[in-house]
Amino acid sequence: MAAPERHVADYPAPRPAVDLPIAALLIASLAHWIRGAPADSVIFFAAAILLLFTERHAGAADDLLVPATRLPGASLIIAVALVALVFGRQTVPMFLAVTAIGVGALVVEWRDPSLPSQPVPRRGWLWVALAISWCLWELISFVYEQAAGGLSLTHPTMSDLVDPMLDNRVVQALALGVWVAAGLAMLRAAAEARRTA
Amino acid sequence: MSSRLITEIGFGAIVAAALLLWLGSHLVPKKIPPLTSVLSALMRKRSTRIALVLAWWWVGWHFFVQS
Repeated sequence: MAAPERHVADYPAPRPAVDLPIAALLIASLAHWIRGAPADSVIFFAAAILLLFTERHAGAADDLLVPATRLPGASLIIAVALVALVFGRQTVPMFLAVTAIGVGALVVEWRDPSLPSQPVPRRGWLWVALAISWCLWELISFVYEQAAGGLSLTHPTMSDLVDPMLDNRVVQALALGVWVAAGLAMLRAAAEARRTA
Repeated sequence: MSSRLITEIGFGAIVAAALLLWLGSHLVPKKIPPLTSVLSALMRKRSTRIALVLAWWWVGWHFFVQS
């Protein structure tokens, strides 16, 4: 008697041995520690450990999507640009603004569970390849910098190249506005994924 | 060619490629998917969402609070 035919869909998808985003957070944590930024290292390490815990111990209640959060728009961009114009960077108001934005974004994204995966759009690998290229190029500069014992004039990292451009407050306000707009676009993309779940 | 120039050209090429992809995704979205649609597919997983949000936040933290 012939065995019933089985299809790939009949088998549960294997769980990957390593969660790549969590591994990336741990590697970033190590890089921050090496470059002498222990606070950044602790933030990335804590996020990785907390993610490991929440992903491994997701309960039935965790499968429920919470009501969608209404994201701010131009008002937030204008508000942070004004903070940059009035106070400048590396000030207490800027610290409070950037911290509040980060905590808010993390809370919004942490509440919902992982959704069933969906194929990445055709040729979506182009964007992924671009991101990986940037990471590798930055990593090469980072290794050279650490070997040079700090700032490397021959192999500057991207932040070494960009930082001098941000001395002017108007440029700071524009850059901060672009940063917030990019973050909001990313949060909207995540919200779009939840809507189609 | 100096090492610094090579490093700067490398970063410049990556930025130029990003701008070209962004422009292409608006002109021919059927051939080049918009970044938001790629992010939307990737961000269905919570760990990817958190890693991307943390990476984005750190950029702001590094340039505007820390540097």
